[in-house]
Amino acid sequence: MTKPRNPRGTPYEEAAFPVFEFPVVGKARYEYTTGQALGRFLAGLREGKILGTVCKKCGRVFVPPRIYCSYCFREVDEWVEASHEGTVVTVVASYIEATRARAAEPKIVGVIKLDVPGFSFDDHFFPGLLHYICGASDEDVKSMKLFGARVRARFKPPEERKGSITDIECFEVVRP
Amino acid sequence: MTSRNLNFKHRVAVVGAGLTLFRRRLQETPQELAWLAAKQALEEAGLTLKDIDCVVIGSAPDAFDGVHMKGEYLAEGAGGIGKPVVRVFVGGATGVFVPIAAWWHVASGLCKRVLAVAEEKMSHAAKPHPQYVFRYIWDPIVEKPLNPNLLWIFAMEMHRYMYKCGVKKEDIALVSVKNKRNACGHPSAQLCDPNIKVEDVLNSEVLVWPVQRLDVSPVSDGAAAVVLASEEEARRITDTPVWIKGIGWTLDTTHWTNRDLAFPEYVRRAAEMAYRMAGIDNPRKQIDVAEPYDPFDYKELHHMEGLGLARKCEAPILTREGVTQRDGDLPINPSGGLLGVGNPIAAAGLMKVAEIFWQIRGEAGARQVKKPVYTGLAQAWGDLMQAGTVVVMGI
Amino acid sequence: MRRVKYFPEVMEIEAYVYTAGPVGTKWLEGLREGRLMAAYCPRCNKLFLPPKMYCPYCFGEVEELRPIEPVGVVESYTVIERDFNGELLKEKRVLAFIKFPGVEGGLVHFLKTDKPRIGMKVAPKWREKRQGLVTDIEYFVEA
Repeated sequence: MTKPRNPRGTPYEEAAFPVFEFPVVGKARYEYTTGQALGRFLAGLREGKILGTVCKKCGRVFVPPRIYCSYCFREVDEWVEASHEGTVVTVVASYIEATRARAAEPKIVGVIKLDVPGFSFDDHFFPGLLHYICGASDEDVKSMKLFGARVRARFKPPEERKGSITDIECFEVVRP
Repeated sequence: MTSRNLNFKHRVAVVGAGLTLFRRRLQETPQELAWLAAKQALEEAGLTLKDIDCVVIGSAPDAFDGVHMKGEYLAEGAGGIGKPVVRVFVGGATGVFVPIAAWWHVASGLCKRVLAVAEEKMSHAAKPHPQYVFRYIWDPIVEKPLNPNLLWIFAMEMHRYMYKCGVKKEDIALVSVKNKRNACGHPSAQLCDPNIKVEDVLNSEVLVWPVQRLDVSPVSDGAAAVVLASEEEARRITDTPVWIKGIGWTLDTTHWTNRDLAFPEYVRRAAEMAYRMAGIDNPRKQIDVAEPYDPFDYKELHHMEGLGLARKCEAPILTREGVTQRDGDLPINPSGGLLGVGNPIAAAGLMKVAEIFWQIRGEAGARQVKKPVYTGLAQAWGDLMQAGTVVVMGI
Repeated sequence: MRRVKYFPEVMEIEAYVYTAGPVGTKWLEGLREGRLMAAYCPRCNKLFLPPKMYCPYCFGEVEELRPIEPVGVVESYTVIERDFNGELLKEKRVLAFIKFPGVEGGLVHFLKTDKPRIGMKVAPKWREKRQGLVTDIEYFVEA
């Protein structure tokens, strides 16, 4: 005998019978508070800086910064400025938008491990950001050439910055 | 083997399981889906609702079904009116967390017969697409402004795994082929494809390289349920109770850009917790059949390694050699997994628990694995590359 | 360095499509035809509203809908004076919970009356053009 026995359910196709869409009325508008750490991080971005925090007990550097070390469970000791340069840890080419619609152009995005003067990091835990990678094509992604590539943050001109992660336009490939 | 390191009042067994169909769109309301699965599980156990003293419900973000307080909403269809009810949620890991929470109820002596139900109706979130709900999951300040699609994260993890282990897409596609073919033996399956080949996967629509359409599990509606009972009750209910030998669960940080994605550390820890309880020190030899979570094909490989069923980077080799087929030495996902049966977020994990239950009892019919099964494992994963839940069952 | 305090965002999903289930769909079709029905459980010998494919009392399956007399009794009501944003409505609205004789449960719907009272007998005023929604009944009025 095969279980499950006669599983039930009534499948239907999208156009099978008239459906009523209930639009989300009065969209809830959220205002997320940035908190202490990210507030300062975003202000730093507006000034063209990438800031992080350091826990001296375990030696971890946090980018994006936190005010506590979640491993030692204590307050961090100081703020540091990360370099604008880093290494590509992983990278992909997206052919779809956030809404699942097809994108006009492939977007190259990845995780960038940032350099911090005076510190070195292994693969296990490191300061890293999700961001767009420019100066690369989807072919570069498929060939895996971009793994380990050096990239540098390209900031928007100061008058266009608002205090957002998008104040960095992308990370540009320096030496593929 | 007896459990070590743990003292609890009552041994716990699974005595019944039930599933609905898993499909892209089902007409039944969320409560009705929960009811269909719960009824089947009760019937298998030979019980009525009156025999159940506690209920555990699992369901992923309310934003899918579009009804807030979803645990409470589902309670009626899950038999939870007038009883102690609790809702648990760890994203995709919920399906295996539901029996873990139900285990607490019974092992503590608080409840004798617990109904555990997991349900998801993703089709309700129609516009623009249910996948858009996952936009919720990103950090609102440093990630959302980049307009990410959830597939980016999986693609990044998949690519990192491929890079670190030198795995090609052809090897990973073998998992999708195996699972979608395995699913043809599953009465609930949404995507059974008896003829699918590796070329089909490699020629499917590229979504976020390296992820292609046939690498991904579908959007689904569905529900699953199991009945857990204490040892005394279980022996009265059935001749073949399946004991829960070990449970484990672990969460990692949501800051996924700060850790190495090539190895799921949180799955390893959850598995360690479950193995210690079950007295397992050589999982590769002591686990006879496993259902690791496979929302993507590479995830099956990733999780096999996290569970210690394969050494790091060894899982693709085992797959290529046929070890993970139903007639292999370590059958993996004989049900067809999420890739073949479907992925209603919370219900998918519980479907895997039900599969191990039926495999151990020899009731999986066309899906029954060749080797004798004494011990099996089900694992689920969830959230932002964060949660691992593991259940080890056996006789 | 002045901190950045807030970050704006909106909810994701634009529109939901809910289904009524197999029994619920038949019930809505009944409404479209101007017929009020209730679900019937053969084991409990009970009628109940809102309709479902399972009986919430005995957990058994329900497949049948039976027409009921469209005359109900107001069990409770409330008078709504303001909208979602707290602004005064031009016209007050009465929302009532209406029970039907011989039926467990009931319906929540609008009541058009200047003098609502508990125990008032009410009947539905059907719309001209019906679609298969609970709003095919525009409101209830004193019967």
